[in-house]
Amino acid sequence: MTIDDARLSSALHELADTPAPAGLADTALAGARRRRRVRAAVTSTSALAVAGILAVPFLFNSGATPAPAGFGAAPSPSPTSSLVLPGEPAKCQLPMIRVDVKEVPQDKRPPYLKGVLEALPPRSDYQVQSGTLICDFNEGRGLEAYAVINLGGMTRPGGHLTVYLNKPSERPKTCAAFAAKHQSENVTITSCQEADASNPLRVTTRETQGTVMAFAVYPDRALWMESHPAKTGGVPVTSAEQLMKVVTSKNLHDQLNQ
Amino acid sequence: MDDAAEREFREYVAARQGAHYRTAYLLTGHHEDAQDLVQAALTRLAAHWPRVQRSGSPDAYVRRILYHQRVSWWRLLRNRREHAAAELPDQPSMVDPAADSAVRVTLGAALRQLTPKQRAVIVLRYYEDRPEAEIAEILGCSVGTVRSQVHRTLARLRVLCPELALTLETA
Repeated sequence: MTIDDARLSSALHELADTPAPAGLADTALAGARRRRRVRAAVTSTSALAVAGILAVPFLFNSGATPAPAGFGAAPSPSPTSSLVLPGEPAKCQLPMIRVDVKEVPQDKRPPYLKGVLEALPPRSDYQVQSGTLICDFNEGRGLEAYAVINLGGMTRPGGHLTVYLNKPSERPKTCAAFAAKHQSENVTITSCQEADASNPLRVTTRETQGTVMAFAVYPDRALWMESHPAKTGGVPVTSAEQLMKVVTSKNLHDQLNQ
Repeated sequence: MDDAAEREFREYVAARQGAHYRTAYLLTGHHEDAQDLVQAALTRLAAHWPRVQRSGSPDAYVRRILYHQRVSWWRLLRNRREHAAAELPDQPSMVDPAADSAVRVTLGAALRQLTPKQRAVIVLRYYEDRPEAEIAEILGCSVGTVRSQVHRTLARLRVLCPELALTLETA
């Protein structure tokens, strides 16, 4: 390296001497999870599209008149339950309005999602972007479900919400265990109430980039929701306390118990 | 990703996010774009963490994404918008505070006028101190192209900031 190179290098190092923002790992992990979900949704849509294309000749040949399933049609419900649909991941995805419109039609929302929307503060602009039925889509991990709800449409001017349901074995069952697992420099536990005979473990958290979460861990299930602000560092429209009302609402649990 | 892998990913990010962010800041010249760029790279890393970790070179993986993403066409389009001058940190200089600060300010402004590929070449060569062959591999071009890019970019830097040209010629 010549002296000139050294001066340029020194100036670049000085110019770059700036602190990194917080919360990069959390956002990256959340983004990676989202990518996996999108991939699953794309796989689902592709499978449905292929099935639709393959079905066309048979429909013509048989002269069948019933309406074809079409692209993005809902998977057939399980004969044993309207909620549980074990099997391949593609069947767990909720259908979109169209392949290019990321929105679940109102009449395709499963009961648990209706329970969530009924328990949220009243708004006219909730839009279910994507989600799943309650099903075993991770092969043996047990029944799970998730959904993404936008506030104000696809551009999320009001931020967005996520809903998760899974087996409680994956979540700590006491405040101390929860803090040991989840509290970090980026995550602050804002409240925690231990489980008792009639109530689940209830925890609310706040992340440095603004996201708030509410967890309810029951003996037979765990429910939690995230409320993301429209912009990093902002205040989410839906508070952790409002999310807690949803994840502990009796109506929602009645839906899940059907 | 299981709990152990997630913990290791968080530890990696905690240890390396500063370095990656500084590189991204030089590549973009803007804090918000730097954050977007690092976030996109770390998100892709998180999606492939077990495999990349086994390969033993997560830094190389992130670096490749940072540079490729930066010079890709959509980034080019996105960065045609005008940015306000980035805030520059006040760091005391060991030698000549006034002169070094002037060079830093001028260099920051000059970097923002380079193309993403020119900036990538300068950052790789003079900030990361990478050899030409490695720069060529990262950017997916020949060593000859790297050499000519470095030559042309230095010439442009001298035109864009006379203070730096003076420094380069008189140092």
